[in-house]
Amino acid sequence: MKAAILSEFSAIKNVLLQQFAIYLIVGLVIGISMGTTIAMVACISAMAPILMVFTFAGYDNMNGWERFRATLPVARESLVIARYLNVLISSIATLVVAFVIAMVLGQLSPVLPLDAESVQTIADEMRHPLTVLGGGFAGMSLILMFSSLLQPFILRYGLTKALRWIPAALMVLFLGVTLILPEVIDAPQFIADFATWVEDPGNIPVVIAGLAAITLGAYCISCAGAIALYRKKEL
Amino acid sequence: MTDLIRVCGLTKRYGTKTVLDNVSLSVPKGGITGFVGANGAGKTTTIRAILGLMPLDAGTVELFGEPFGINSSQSVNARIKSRIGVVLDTCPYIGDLPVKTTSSIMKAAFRGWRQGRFEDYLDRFGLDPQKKVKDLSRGMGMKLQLACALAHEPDLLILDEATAGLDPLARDEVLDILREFVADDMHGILISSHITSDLDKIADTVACIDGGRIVFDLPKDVITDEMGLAKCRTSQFEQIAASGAYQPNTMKFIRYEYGIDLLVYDRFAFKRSFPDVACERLTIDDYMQLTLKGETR
Repeated sequence: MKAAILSEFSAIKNVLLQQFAIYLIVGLVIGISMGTTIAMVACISAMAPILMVFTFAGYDNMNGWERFRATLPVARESLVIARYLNVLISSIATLVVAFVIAMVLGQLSPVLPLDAESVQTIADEMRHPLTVLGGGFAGMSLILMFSSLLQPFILRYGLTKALRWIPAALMVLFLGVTLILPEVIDAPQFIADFATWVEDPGNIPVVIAGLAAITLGAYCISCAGAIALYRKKEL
Repeated sequence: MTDLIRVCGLTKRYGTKTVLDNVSLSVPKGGITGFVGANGAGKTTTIRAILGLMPLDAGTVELFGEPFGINSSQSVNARIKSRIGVVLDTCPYIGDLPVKTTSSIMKAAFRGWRQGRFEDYLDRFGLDPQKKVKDLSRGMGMKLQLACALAHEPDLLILDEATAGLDPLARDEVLDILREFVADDMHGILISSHITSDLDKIADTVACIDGGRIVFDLPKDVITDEMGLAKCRTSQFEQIAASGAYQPNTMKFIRYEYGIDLLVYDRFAFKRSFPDVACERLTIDDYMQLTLKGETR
């Protein structure tokens, strides 16, 4: 397992470092233009999982790399688990980087070209770093859940073919949710109540823990499905 | 003695099309098995089957005496594949990465990775560690694969068209490296190639596949030392056919405008029996042509 994780991570290490440099620029632009660090951390953290999924999928399509990777001394399930773990690790690393950028931005806000209101907003956010982290965590979790839907298809059928199936799968999911959700809860009221509840910084750890549990659950189920599909794949 | 590779009855079908039909093959310790056949004959498919890259409809693969396949466990994969060096028909490494990063990937995957050895091969092959994989020529890409395949000190090399794209000097250099590799009696090589002259130089056994079926699997010396190619006129051919020197359905020949090439099973006996007929040494290519394209009488 360690061999599978490290060999794949070696392939994307440079990509990740390049992305961190891009995130620094993107973070400063978003932070300064929007006058908030929460949105900036959420945006960057949401970008990472999907970028990593597509980066890995792009590499798999390149020169028969996927076939060669399967000749390395690792089993098929290890290859899939390593892929999931590398996307997860890269996403968490990006969240940390985005959070650090937010903290730096917070410290520099008085000398940056920001209006007084934005400086005050950022100063308020700096008093609640867990809220900033929670925003990033929410962005990352949502996209990780989305990538849980994508990855089994991408691993089994390749990026090009998977992209033909994914819209159909999303449509079915969307219809299912819109049909079932009103039967279970009053969605608009629930969202309004949740927004009020989450404004209390004391509830942020609960949100993070809840999101982490749901995301990891979906991610593990997706990984198990991907292993079952990938075991039969011809390379 | 346990074979490094032993495959029995490999069969693979796609719908009604059979791409591998009861393929059996072996690579003994200390031996080089050459694997020849036309494009699409099933060489790469057989290699993929051996490496557990595809599910099979029937047949077994044993590597180092141990059953192996697509669903082998992590421990079996680690134990077996760490002893195999693989060279595929195209350089499979990620094009955007420099050569030195390729070694980082391999180092992470193989416990027995020898960085110094890898660097020695880069020097020997004139490969620049800073150069991106996508900027390498086909020949250089094959050399990089060979460097990676050898740097983790494998016991078995599986080479799919490893000498394709190399100039004659580089091909000879690679063949020398392969000879050095099998100087160790515990090592073995399975090499598929269109360039049968390479196999003439290094193979111990030659197997030929056509339409997914093994059509011959013989020691190379039998082909190149014992067999021969008689260049006959039609009258000589008829004389040989009438002499009873061949059993029915064993005369393999190809007709040309000005003569007939006839497969001779025992060159020395043939020369004694038919001293007036020119009979030269047979190459793997001649034998393949006669077996696959020749008429039988």
